[in-house]
Amino acid sequence: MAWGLPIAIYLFLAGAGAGAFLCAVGAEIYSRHTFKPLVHSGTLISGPMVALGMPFLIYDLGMGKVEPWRIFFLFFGNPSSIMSWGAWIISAFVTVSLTLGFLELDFHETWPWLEKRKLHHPKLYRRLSFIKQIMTPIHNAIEPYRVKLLIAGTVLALATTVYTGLLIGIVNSVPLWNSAILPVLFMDSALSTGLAAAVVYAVVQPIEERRLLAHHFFSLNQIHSLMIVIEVLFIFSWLLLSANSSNAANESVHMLMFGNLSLLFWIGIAFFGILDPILIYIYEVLLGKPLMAYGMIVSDGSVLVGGFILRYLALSAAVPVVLF
Amino acid sequence: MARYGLLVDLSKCTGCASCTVACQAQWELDPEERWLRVEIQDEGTYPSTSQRFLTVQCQHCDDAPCVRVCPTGANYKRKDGLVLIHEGRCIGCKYCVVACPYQARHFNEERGTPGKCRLCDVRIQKGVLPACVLACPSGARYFGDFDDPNSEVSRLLVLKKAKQLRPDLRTGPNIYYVR
Amino acid sequence: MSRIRLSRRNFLKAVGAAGVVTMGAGAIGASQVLGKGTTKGTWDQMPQLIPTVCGMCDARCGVVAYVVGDRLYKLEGNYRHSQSQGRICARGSAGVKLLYDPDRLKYPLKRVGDQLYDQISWEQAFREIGQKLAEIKEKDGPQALAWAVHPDLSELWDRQFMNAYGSPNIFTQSSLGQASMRLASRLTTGWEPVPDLKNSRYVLLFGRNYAESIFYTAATNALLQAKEKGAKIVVIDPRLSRMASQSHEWIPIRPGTDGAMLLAMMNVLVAEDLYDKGFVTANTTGFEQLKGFLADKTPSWAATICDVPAETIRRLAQEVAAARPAALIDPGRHGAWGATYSNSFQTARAALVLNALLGNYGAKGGLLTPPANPLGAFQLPATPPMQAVRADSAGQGQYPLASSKDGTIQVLPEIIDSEQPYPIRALVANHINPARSLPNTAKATRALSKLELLVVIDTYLTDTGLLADYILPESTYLERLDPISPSTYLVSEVALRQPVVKPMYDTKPGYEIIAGIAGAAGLGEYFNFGVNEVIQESLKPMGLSLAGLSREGLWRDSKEVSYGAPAFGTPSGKIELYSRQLEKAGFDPLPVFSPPEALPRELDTFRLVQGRDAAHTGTATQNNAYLHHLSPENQIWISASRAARLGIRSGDEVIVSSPAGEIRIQARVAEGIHPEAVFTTHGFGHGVRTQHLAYHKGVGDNGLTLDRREPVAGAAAAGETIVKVRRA
Repeated sequence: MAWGLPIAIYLFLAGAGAGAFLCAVGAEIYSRHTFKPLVHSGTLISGPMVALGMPFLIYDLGMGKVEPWRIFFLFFGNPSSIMSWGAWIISAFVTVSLTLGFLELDFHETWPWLEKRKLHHPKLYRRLSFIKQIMTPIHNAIEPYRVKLLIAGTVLALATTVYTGLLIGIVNSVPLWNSAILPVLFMDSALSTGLAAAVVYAVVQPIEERRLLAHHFFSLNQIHSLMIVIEVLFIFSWLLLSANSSNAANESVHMLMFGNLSLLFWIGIAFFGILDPILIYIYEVLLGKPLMAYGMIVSDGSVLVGGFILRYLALSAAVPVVLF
Repeated sequence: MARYGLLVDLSKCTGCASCTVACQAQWELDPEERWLRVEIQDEGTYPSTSQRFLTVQCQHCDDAPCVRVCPTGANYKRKDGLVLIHEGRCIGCKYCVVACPYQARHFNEERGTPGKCRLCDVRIQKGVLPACVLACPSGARYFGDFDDPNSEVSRLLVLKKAKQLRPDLRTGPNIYYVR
Repeated sequence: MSRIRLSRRNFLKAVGAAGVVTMGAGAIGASQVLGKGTTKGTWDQMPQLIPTVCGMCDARCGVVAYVVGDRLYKLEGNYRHSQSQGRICARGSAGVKLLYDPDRLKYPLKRVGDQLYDQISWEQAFREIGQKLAEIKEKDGPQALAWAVHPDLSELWDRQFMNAYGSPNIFTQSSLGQASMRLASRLTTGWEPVPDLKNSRYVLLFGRNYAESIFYTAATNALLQAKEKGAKIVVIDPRLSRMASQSHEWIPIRPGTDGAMLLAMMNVLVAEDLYDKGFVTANTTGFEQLKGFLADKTPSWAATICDVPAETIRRLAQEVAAARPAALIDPGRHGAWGATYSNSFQTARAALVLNALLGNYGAKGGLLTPPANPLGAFQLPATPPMQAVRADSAGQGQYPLASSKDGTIQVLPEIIDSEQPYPIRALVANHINPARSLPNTAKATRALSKLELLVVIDTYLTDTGLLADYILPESTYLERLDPISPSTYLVSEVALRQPVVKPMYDTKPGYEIIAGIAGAAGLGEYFNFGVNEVIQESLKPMGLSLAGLSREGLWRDSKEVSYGAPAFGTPSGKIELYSRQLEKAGFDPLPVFSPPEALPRELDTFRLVQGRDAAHTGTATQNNAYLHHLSPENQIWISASRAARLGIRSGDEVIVSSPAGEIRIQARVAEGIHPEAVFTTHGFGHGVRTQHLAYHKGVGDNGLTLDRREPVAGAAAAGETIVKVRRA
């Protein structure tokens, strides 16, 4: 198929970034104070994650490197194209989430990493402090709109997660993709990887934040385990339906489960994406306490690996319809 | 205005790929780039076995998926039925390559844009047959206007009960095949 | 009435909104206009159309070259030529890639070491070759020079050279492909019949592959038109060829046993009184002897030999008889009886005799005489009478009926090796690749290496070229003015092959090269003519001029195809079912059947069947970019049943061995092949590094075949080869 690794990375980052945003919003609605580290990290990373996917998309374009101004046509050329909608949605979402991420940065507090450089790099310290200073009024100007931005961001994030699934879901030349389950599967995967990314980022923060997160670890894990179980159900249904629908889809499923993609499928998705995190969560339940820091990085990192490989395999296992 | 298309009589096709190379020569394609291909299917077991041949190219669909999904509007359907590409608009996103059920588009890495059968638009506007139609040694290919009930292709369509490829996909292809 | 207060804030809001709307409209408007159109190419320019004759295979269809400036853009069929009728096969279209192949030979080469060559001038090449030839003549006599040619249109020059030099040892590829069939035709009807496919109601093809071998586009077209009109086509072949897939019935037959099936069909026609009595009485001799001979050749007898059910044989005989006289057994070309088995000659005779029983000679939808050759003959300068006798005894001794004009090239390596009946020291190979085309590649290569002088005239550096002392680059057919090409199809027609571009690099047409060598070898007086004179002389009877012909590209006799019992060119003036000539020469006068060499009944032992593929012509086209990508390699076909028991799957590498050698090749498990046969396409496995696309792609089949001669025409019997197959 014409779409490969760059597009898989782009879809993964777009989905995870939107998912992180949605988890942050969900956590905030549930209890901003309780899940403060999650809200903070989810909002902060979502914009950069999606934005990071865009160079991969542009790299994959045939004409993108040669005549990049053609990207203008992407927005106005064909209103009935889902990819055109996606251009609008993602541009808007990146703008909103980057703004909200900016709002998460506290310019009043001291930044330890900046203070460290005071002695040895005085010039740098002065310049960065100056920037920090002028950011404050901008921060204050935008702050009142925070709720409006959150609402817009939530709508756009939902649109983004649906878009990544719908993009390939409407392609009726590939029976494996052309299934109603795929957009929902991708949405769940986006939420799951988004949550995982937010947790990983939160865990590598200073110790105070980590402790705060640890207190509510079990409830966090329960939600995450539920997401993974739902994902398993979706993947199972997706493969079962595909295997029984048409020759091309059957071939795709065969490739994934027994053929030349099976190694990636069983190790990447089954083990890293599903088994590994679930086992760690169960172990923690039995143990009675969370595996701090490294435990969370391993389990949530596995979820990220699994989520990426899911997107990659969805693209790689594509088999076009039989014409005879 | 018109609805140009092809009728291919597969009961005469020997899979010789003369059409493939005629198209490559006409459009000066790289040898690896094919806008028209021959698919072969084996059927049966010895001694009651045979091979079936199918030539596949852009079907110039009435409801073309490639036109629908193209984000820049580079793919368009002309009033006379041809589905063509505004190459100056294409960003090379390959959505159309992926979306075509007939896998009719070949993405040319050097040009950065996809290539596909153009129904020999520069030839038919001069009243000359498409290269693949002219070349076929078996005389299995016909070109004409399906909107004209008296055209050869319209008459053969009825006479030989020609069918589309995968009509269930509802793309409205304009190439009809006689089995 | 309240006035709307235009505050600064509102004003800015309004301007802002207007600005956004304008930009949006502008953007949408711009996106409708910008970026439209397609890339430009040669198709946008006005071409010059030059008619010529294709040279990608032996069919020589008329084509039209589209030339823009001084470059060839593309080729199309010439719709006025009876053989192409405007159509062009894949190989024909690919001619442009031959002309511009960067791997072509560009200048004369002289070997100075192992795969080391020096570029030399034509003058030096001619001088040195001429000198060497004079030395060899001095030392071992003129008969020490052999000449191998796959004749295209300038055969005149090859033969004139050998006659002038004094050597009878000129060889063509005929004994590798069609010699048995041609001799059988000559002795049975006196000419080689042309099937009137378009009007036929029933066509039996024994191996004849109109879909993949030498591609007469008009013939393929005619056959499929007949099918469309309701004619039945039956293919009898050990392999399901593409032609077989398009026929109504594929009859898998044990390789080499077609003769028995033909005799059994004749038995049915006679026993059930289905043959054309009137025609047989009026136009044939020897029917009584034939009838007696056929008495015991029943379908049951043939069924065990051929592995075809007796009922099928009987049914086919009845069906073809019911459709007569517009029913025919295709006279064939190479496959079943051209030059494949020891019994090929008699099998070819059997087919021609069966056609006679159907009474289809001269009938509409039957077999017709080839069109008269309207060309005038050029009067060559007289050469001294030939003193020496042929080294392969073609035309005398053990092979009195074998063609002395074509010889039996497959035994040339044996002659060179053994120096019997006398030594051959030099070989000129023109437009032929003996290192790959001759059976038993190992032996052929050894013999060619033994020669004191090997000169190759070709467009590519080939495996034969790798062994040569001098490699002389010929211009391609697109760069040459050649002698006029007569049509071999149904109507009397001639076509002109004229250059569409100037010769590229430092290449010359083959006839100029031969004349050059002749000049340097002291034979210049016999070559005091050029191609223009030959052309003009050949056009005289039609009252044409070269200039006039170059506009149209062809001339056709206005007479239509005529039907009616033809004149037969045999001593009796009739079709010789019983041939006195054969009897006199000590061969069977009736078309007897003798089975091929016995195939041991072992699981891993097979009969090797060689064949063709629509994309390639022999060993000549594997480096053509378009054709290479259609068909880059060959594989060996093995029947699914045997493959399963041998543990071979498609894609596995297998080792195929015979007494002549061993090859490693990829297997293809197929349902469409007789279990006792394995099949591969001929022409692959080039060992020349400079043929970048073809180098080491696929494997040469002649590594397995043996250099035999069938007893009557002396044709190669490569189909007798028995091989063993095992997984690598």
